[in-house]
Amino acid sequence: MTSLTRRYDGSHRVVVTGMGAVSGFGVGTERLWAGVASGGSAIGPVVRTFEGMSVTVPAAIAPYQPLDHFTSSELQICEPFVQLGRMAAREALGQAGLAGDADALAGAGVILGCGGGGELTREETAIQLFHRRRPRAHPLTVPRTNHQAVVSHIAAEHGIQGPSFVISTGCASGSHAIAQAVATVRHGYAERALAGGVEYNAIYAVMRAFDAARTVARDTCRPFSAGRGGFAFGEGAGVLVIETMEAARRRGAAIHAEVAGIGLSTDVADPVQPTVAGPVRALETALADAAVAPADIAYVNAHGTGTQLNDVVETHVVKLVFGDHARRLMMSSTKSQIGHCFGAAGALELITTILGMAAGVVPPTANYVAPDPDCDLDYVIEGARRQPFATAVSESFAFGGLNAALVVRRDR
Amino acid sequence: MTANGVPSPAEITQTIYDCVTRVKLDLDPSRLSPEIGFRELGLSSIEAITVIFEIEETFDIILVDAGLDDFKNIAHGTQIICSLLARREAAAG
Repeated sequence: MTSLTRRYDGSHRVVVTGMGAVSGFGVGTERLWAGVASGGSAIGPVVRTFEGMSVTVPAAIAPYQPLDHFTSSELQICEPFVQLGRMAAREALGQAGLAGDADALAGAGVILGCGGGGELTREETAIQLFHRRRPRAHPLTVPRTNHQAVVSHIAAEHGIQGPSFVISTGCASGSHAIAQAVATVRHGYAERALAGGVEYNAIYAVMRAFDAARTVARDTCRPFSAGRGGFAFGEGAGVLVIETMEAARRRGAAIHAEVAGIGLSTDVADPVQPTVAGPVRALETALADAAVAPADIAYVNAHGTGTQLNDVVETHVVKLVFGDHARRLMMSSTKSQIGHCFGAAGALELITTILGMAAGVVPPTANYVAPDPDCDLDYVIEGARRQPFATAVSESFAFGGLNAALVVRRDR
Repeated sequence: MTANGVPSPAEITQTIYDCVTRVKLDLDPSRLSPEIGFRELGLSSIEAITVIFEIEETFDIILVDAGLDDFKNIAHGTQIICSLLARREAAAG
């Protein structure tokens, strides 16, 4: 039985002891980092078809063979978003040295972000009911599509019996989930948790939906660059093992970073257009929570969708929060490399930030072609930059004006 | 297939077997026989429901809404499907 040490002031320090990732660069954090450090991009044209109709969008698709990781029986009930989450969780637990540690995992939690849940089965169900006009949906439709399937399958696989749930706040889901997991561990409601996000939605109907909102780029994602035209789709999962510093030290675990601050805010303005005030509030809250001065932040992993509006607003936000220091800090968009992984984005971007901190290399912004006068900060456009940094912040903003910022620092 | 285009009872039984193994992938097919029931095969409730769904889809018939989905065993299922298909054939003239 995991011992619980409640701290009503939330004074447990929370550290990352394991990470797992599946992204357009492949299965595993090693492949993610190799891709990020190469400066390249996993984004390419992806075609989805339905009875003679087709849609093509730029996307970074996670290359994996489901049967290499799951039995046929598991695949019957596990949608790809669940598969991706399970794969990332396995890697994270293995890296943390917790795989098979029943005692350490019994009281742990699984808190993941996910935007769409089982979009694939939902699309198949719509075809079955409305197109084929059949009277019955597949009996596994509900357990396959439920967002919470991902956390329950991970919990069942590893014997994790503490608090498990999914947070669904679109593009900010992963960051919100990590923030919630950090709060849970800080206060001692669980000593450790798997936190992160998953998404699989590069399918016909979802591509059509985002395309109709005119948010998707024609060719690729070019954040902060002149000529940018929106985001590219991405799919994947990012999962971090977080635990109290005390617990990590007790068991002699390697500590990758401390999640030092969380900041959450709401725009209360427009369903789709971001404000400046909302993200500023999230960032300032996160910095205050971490008790770090703006000048201590060396790197910002931007939300960086590559839409006209986001990148200008985000640049403005950073200038407001960081003042003169905005010209000195480095800011880049991992979405230029692995696409917009929606519910997984915040988690994969935080993992990228932590991997960069560990390597002493700043993740780049890929696909940049020319300056935009309204985006005039250092976006690390020349490729991954060899430069150690010790404190960073990762930002996520969702439709509906829901914002999250996470401050991480190298373990001291 | 019989002369009028309706599958024979043996073909229907085989199709039910196929539906069961499609849903219960780890089942040893040698355990399948007309006398055996879904429960004896170790099908969970959701698996049994899914087998019925697969049968409905394969034969394009309605079992659940007609209250005909409670098969005592596979032979019983074959019987129900046979009569549904024969009735449909007769109605089509």
